[in-house]
Amino acid sequence: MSSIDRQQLGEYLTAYLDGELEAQEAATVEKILEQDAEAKALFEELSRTASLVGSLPRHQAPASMMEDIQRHIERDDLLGNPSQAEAVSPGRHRSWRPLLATAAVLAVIVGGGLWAFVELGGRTGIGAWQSVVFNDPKDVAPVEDDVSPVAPRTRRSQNKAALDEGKGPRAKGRAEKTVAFRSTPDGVGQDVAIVPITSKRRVSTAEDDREKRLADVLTLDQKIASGLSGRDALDHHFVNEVNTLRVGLSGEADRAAAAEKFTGYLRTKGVVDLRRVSRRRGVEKNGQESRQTFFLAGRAAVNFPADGGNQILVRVPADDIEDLVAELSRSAPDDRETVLRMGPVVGRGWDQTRDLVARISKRPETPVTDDRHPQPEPTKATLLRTTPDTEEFAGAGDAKSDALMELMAALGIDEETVTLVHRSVAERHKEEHHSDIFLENAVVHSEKDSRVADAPDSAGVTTEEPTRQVADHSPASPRAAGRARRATKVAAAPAEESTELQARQAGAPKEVRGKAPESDTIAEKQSAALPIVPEHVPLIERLLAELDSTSASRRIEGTSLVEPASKISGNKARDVMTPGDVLFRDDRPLMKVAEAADAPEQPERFVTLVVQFATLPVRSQVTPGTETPTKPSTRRGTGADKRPSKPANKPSTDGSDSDPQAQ
Amino acid sequence: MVECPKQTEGPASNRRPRPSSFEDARLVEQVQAGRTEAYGKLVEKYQDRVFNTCWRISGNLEDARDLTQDAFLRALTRISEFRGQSGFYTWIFRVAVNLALSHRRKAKRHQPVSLDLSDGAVGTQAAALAKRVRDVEGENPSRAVIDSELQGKVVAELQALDDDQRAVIVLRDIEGFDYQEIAEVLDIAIGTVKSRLHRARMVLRTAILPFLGRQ
Repeated sequence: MSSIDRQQLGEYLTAYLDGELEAQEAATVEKILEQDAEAKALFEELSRTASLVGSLPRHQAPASMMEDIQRHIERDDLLGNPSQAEAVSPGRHRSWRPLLATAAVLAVIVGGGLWAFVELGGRTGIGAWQSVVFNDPKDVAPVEDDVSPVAPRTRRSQNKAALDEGKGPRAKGRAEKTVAFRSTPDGVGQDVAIVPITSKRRVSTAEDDREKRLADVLTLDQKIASGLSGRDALDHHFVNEVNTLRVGLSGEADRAAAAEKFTGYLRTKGVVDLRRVSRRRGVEKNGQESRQTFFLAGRAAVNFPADGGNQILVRVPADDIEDLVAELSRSAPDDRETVLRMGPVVGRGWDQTRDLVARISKRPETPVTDDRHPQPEPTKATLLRTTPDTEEFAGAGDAKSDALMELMAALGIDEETVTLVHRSVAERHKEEHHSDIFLENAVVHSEKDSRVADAPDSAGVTTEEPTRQVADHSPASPRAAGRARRATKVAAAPAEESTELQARQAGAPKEVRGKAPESDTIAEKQSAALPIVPEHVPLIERLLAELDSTSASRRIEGTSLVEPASKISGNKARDVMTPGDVLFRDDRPLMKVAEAADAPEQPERFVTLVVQFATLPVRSQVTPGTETPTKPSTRRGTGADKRPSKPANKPSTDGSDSDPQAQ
Repeated sequence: MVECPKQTEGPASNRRPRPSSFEDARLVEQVQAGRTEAYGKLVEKYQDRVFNTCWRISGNLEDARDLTQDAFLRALTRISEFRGQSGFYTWIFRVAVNLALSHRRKAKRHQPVSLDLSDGAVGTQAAALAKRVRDVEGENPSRAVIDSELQGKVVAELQALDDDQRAVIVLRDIEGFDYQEIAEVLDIAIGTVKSRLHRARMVLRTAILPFLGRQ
């Protein structure tokens, strides 16, 4: 040790400090420390340093960690991860099956909605926007011919033809060159033009590959117009369009303050002020001196000079969008003017806005916590009911109940019964926030229900008959057996509604319905809670069969619905699958997980959002009946009379003059 | 988006109690046999320590949450490959540290440019930490200020360390791993552990030397 240099001595001191030296080495170091004051000082300093690092505060893992991991395990199982399937108990399948069934039905419903949108006409998007060109207003290219809405079928056929030629709408977008926002009453786009991406990425001739690439770069409008399936649309996260969020403030001062506060918030999030970036990057010479081109490759924000600077274009990771909206909702609690437009989908008010942004965020199942606007129930966003002239958005709870009603109606169950079942399920799960298992529990109930299978009900209809009916089917498979068993447990409606069902079935006068008889005995109470109507059993069996068949064929789509944030094709896919795994969709290989070293780096998903700070109308000046409804209708096919009326000062959304998404 | 984790006391010693490898092995066997609840026990047992390690390596609580979650999921995915040659304890830390280091490397490539916050995330965290400490009323306010500055400096310097050095010092001084375990977790030689740890401590020592003199 005598010949060691200072570096070696330092390492010895470090090891001595950690008790990692052999006895002989330790003795030598101790001797050095006694004789060498400099070494002793160094040792003490190293000791203090280690102590300081060791005394840094610690955190407990978030309380939801276990739940999060469990949820991901369930999702992995849906993805069919083989190694994990060996490691987990098959019994847990029961916990995610309700989600699967719900997801499958939603897929049907949303797909239908999108089909209706396409068939009935819709507005089409332009390009997969990746860069933004800011111009002086006078320099905005006169591109009205390129961007004006065309008849949906025409546009659709154009894009379809382009797809057939292997070009796709992106090729069309490139051909259109620069696409500009037109001036609108909102002021959006007075000085902004959007340039379609000019990616050099080769478009594969393989249909699978092409569809996947298109799905990554198309707007929802383009997906619809291109004839992609509703399932593909379900995976859409609105990262390829310019979304707009309009919030209302009570006065000009509040408006400016909110804009300033929001700008400060963006700074704390490390969002780049694009104006400064522009100075660093310089001006791109496109033959026009006034044109400045900025490429938004990451977090960015810019204030529009138009509209008094009360518009801010933000481009942030999808993960951050929920926080951003929560921040805005605190600044503008009055949501009369709050409108979020994401492609063809519109959310009004903060509740719908939160649900919508949850659709594109990383963890959509996590409700945004906002003290001023607590969410009563966790809901997931989904797309529903896009029509040519009205777009509506509904949260998952409404969507699922609607899905249930529509599916049952389609199966021939009359509306009144559907309503009763729906109401009973809603009541049953309202307190537990089990919106995810809404649909499943409409037709599948707990084991306790089966215990009363032999008890006669109050209307004289026994449960033996449906039980035998089902049993006679002699299901050969466990799946069929489970289906049959569940079919005998259909009724979970509260006693009052059960009795109403039974009374109606038995032809009782309407005025006596809705009153549950007093049940003094356990058997009577059980029978009152078991309103099985024999005539409904076949229908419910059909419903279950439909659910089973859709679940079986749409496992992957169901997964994406449960957690739509790119769980199949997005950033996280590699993390939940073992290298070498191949994920299939409809028996076609969708993606293969490469080894970590070879895995291409997944780009972060960024969302573009134009935040507009508008001035609220004075309440007293609002004409009664023209205010924005707090809850838009979610019923399909109910006609224009049930659609929400437009706000009094809200610009037209018919795509002719105001909605940038329409261009 | 991360729920605020509960603050806990710092360690009394940087040597943490050794987990029972026998118990871990039994739980791992159960998981391999298909009993998911056994994995829940493993998660419950190690989640705090893995979370803290990820936090100190990544420098971000939200990232730490995701990394911890991913580490446990990845470990479960590959649980069938686990042969018990090292302890589950070491194994899960190996997964977590590799994920955290990989995350850091990616984050560096996509680091957002903050024009107004010149000190960036590290500075923000350090400032927040310092503020939190300042907010705590102590008997000796001047001492509290010095301590808070010192802690903030340590946090900032820790984040400024080379990734490999930071991993070593986090495992050693925060999690209390011995050199052999660190070598297993990071898949490096013990000699490398020694040299990295010493270099890391020297860097930190140099940075906080002015503060040490004030104390």
